[in-house]
Amino acid sequence: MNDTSVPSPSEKHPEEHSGVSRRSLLTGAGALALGGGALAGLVGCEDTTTPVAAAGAGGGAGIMGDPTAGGPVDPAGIPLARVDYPVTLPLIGDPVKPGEPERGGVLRVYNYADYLNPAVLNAFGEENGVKVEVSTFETLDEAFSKLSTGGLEFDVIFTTTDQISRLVGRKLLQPLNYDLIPNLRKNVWDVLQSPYYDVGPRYTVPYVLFTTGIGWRNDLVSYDPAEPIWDALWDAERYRGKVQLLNDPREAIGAALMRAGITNLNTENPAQIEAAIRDLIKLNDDVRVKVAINGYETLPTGRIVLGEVWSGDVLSAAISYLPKDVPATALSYVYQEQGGPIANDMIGIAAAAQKPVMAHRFLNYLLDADVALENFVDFVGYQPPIRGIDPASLIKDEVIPPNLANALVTPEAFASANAFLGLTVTGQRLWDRGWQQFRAG
Amino acid sequence: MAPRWVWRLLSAPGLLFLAVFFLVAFYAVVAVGLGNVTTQFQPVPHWNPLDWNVGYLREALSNLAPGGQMWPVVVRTVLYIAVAMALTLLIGYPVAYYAARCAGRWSGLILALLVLPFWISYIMRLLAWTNLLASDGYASEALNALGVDRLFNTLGLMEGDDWLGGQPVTVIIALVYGYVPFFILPLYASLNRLDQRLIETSRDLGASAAETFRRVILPLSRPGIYAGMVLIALPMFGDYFTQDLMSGSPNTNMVGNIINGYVQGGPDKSLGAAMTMLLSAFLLIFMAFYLRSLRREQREAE
Amino acid sequence: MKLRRDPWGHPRGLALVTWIYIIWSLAPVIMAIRFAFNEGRSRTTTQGWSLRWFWQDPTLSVFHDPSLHSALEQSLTLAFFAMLIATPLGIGLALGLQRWRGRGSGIANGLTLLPLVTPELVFAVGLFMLFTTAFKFIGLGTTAQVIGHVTFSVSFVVVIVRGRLQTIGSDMEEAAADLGAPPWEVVRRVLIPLLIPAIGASLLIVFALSIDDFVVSQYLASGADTTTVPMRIYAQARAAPTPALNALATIMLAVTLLALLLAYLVFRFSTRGQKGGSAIGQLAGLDARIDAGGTK
Repeated sequence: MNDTSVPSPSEKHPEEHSGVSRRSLLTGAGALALGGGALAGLVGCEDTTTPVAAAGAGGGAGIMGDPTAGGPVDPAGIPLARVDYPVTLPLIGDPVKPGEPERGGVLRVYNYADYLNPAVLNAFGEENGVKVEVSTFETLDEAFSKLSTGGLEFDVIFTTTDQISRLVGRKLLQPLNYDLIPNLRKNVWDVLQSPYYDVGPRYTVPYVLFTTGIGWRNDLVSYDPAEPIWDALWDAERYRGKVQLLNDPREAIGAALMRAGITNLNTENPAQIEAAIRDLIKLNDDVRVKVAINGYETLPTGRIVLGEVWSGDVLSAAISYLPKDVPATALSYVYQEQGGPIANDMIGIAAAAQKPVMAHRFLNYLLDADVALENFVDFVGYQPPIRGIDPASLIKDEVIPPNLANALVTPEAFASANAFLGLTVTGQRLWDRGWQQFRAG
Repeated sequence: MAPRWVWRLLSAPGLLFLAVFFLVAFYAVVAVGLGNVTTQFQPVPHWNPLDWNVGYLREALSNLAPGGQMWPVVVRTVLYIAVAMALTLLIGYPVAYYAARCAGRWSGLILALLVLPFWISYIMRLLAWTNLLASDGYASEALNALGVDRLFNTLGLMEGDDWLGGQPVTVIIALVYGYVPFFILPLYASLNRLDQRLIETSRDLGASAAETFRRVILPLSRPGIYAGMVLIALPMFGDYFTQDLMSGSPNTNMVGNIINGYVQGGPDKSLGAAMTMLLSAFLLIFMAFYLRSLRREQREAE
Repeated sequence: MKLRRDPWGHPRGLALVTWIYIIWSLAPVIMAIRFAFNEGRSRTTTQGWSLRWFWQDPTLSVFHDPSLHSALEQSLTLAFFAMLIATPLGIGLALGLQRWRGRGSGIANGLTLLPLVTPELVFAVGLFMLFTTAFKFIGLGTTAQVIGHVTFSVSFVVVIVRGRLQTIGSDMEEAAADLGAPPWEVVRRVLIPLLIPAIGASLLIVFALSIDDFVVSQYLASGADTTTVPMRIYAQARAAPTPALNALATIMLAVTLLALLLAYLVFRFSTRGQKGGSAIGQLAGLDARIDAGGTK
């Protein structure tokens, strides 16, 4: 594990209440066994005049089975999940009872833009007598920042592996009633039946899979995919201003880390992060990157010619955004097979959902094999982990252009996944401050 | 005459509204900026001045000070705005002058056309430019055919031929485009009110057109210039969307982008609040300086 | 018609600069409107003519994409409530401040004028902090957005109405009072009718400020149903824009210009024979901006 530390209570601030109260965590912690340091993290709050303490025990081995051990925990005191260190999230509240779905009115969904097929939403709405309304965010930090103000009323929240525990910690998600989501057992890949980030599962169902890599226009750029892949960005001086870096601190800093040969994508080693930031600043000086997440639109239209993208972006580009004069064969993609991010997004239901039963039905609907396929190949371009949506047959049937076969994720590749996952308070701050430094240009 | 209390009563709801949603809201920025955060990065405002925690303010100050992490952004912001204001003056003054003093029978039409941009959403006007300046857009192709991109390249104001690819020159011109109507109209008004007799006297005393402009018209229009300048400079300092839409590159991020990034996009709302305080303080000094010079100008003019 | 006031003849250079400026300021918008009528998906080249992006396209057109037409609704809702609240508040403030002499008047005046020169970002951050901490019971959403819009537009109403009060003077009001009318009657029967043009101009300027607003709306939004047209344009322009976005902007502009035209006609009708600045100028809030910048 990382060289992390736990936050310690610095000064007393009686007016504050952390997201998870001591009681709710204790009741939910039966199987969890949190260390003392973790609990301290729950009730303490930090003061920048007294930096987050380096006190508390480090090391993560064995904390799940040993209630006395301290281990790296996220800001809410929940142990940090790793691919090889599965975590059961504490149960906060009760899952909804089965019942009639709440028809009429609006089902509110919070998601990235262009990340759900409008036709699928309309069909669900007509079938179930509800209007699906999607609010969009550009970055996960923005989403968390808005959600954690507590003023937003959503039913369904789309999120990622690095956000899930802090959403639970802020009591923004409710445990799911999986009896209402039979399609999970029926259709989803075995490797995601009880994923490492949410053992059980308790709060989520998987949505789509992706890898992070380099996408480029092979008709406009000469690029040899044999070279170490992340160098592609730093070597793209010729395409200054037309190179994308993902507008996502984890992915962007991650690219610099991977280029330096670091495969711990959740490192909290200040020296490594600082070096990565320096690298990114150099990248920006040399290549003047576009910091965005809309490569699926800018790559096919040629507004960028090369960039850090998610695998789904190039498929999405081929499916939905190609101009008439650009063939799908002009798009290429490569990713780091060993140690690169291979992960999935997930869907949860907001703790304050107005229509929890309908929301369960919506989750179940998206895991229907036909719906998932329609959502994938007609619009979104991100592949769902559904049995029967088989990469080989998609290529054989020319649903996906053969030159983008490597943008699909196989269960085998997913089994060797690496992912951006939750960080400790110190780590979170380290990454965030680094990102702001990069943003200063 | 109605008794005094009637008038005070009439103004009470408005004053109360502004007191709560302007003054208290600003105090909320102070309370968050001088407050604390939980381990989950939720801001905890300290409403009581005795509890103020200067950690974030100090950090914001050291970031924004010379040599700090954000110092390049400060320099860039001031530079962009200074250049944009100079260009605005260069474009706006002749237009306002012509519309106010020489347009003759066209004056109604010209004024209507100058006012029209007020009625078109700022964001829509930027959207229009993103259409035209995209690499296959008409303006971009025309400018590149004319060699304007190469000219700017030689001058070091632009790199490559992609106008939306993080070019400072695009951001500056977009700022000018966005704010110049807000400069022209107040200036138009002050030029419109110029005393015609002074100009005629100047001519009668033998001054040339250029001399009259330099000695009479320009000094008299100075308050209008200052008014217009301040009216556009202040919102420019809080602008982040122009940069976001026209560039999106860290190379062109302005102070507004950084504050927006902290407050809306990231976990450090307290640091964002502290930076907002510093920006406001800076602008207050700016405003006070302007108000003083304006009053002096007016006294001299009288 | 205005007399030519430059005794040295017609400066052709200046005329040229002015017309180039006018073309520069308006041509891009006209092109943006043109792209709204594209048959193809491009927003950068003209591709035939169609109404596809207004209502023909079954999923992406303004008519069929709920996120687009709900933005239009939200923009108009906010503008309506902002007009409804900011105008009376501003009129009251103007009437009060105009006659408030002595203790407290300086502070009251300052408080009224300060919002005119405060960057929107500062408003937005302040209200965001307020509604997410002390005023959690209001929270983010439409109410917060309306409050935000009223906060930054009320000062414009004050400036417009005070300008009008100065023009009409206090003769009529004093006459009414001398004849024994109680204060409320003076306000209702004398002042308000005289202020009608200023009230019209105020409503219009609040409408314009509200529908143009991006920053405050964005900070105080709570989700898709509180997304306004400028927010929608901003978000979509950074994702995958289609000409539907241009179509949305075009509709918004058409609605605005229609409101302006209507107001202009009413205004001309109601102020016939009265002296004062040009109707267009007053409508644009020109006087407000002038006074905001020039008299403080």
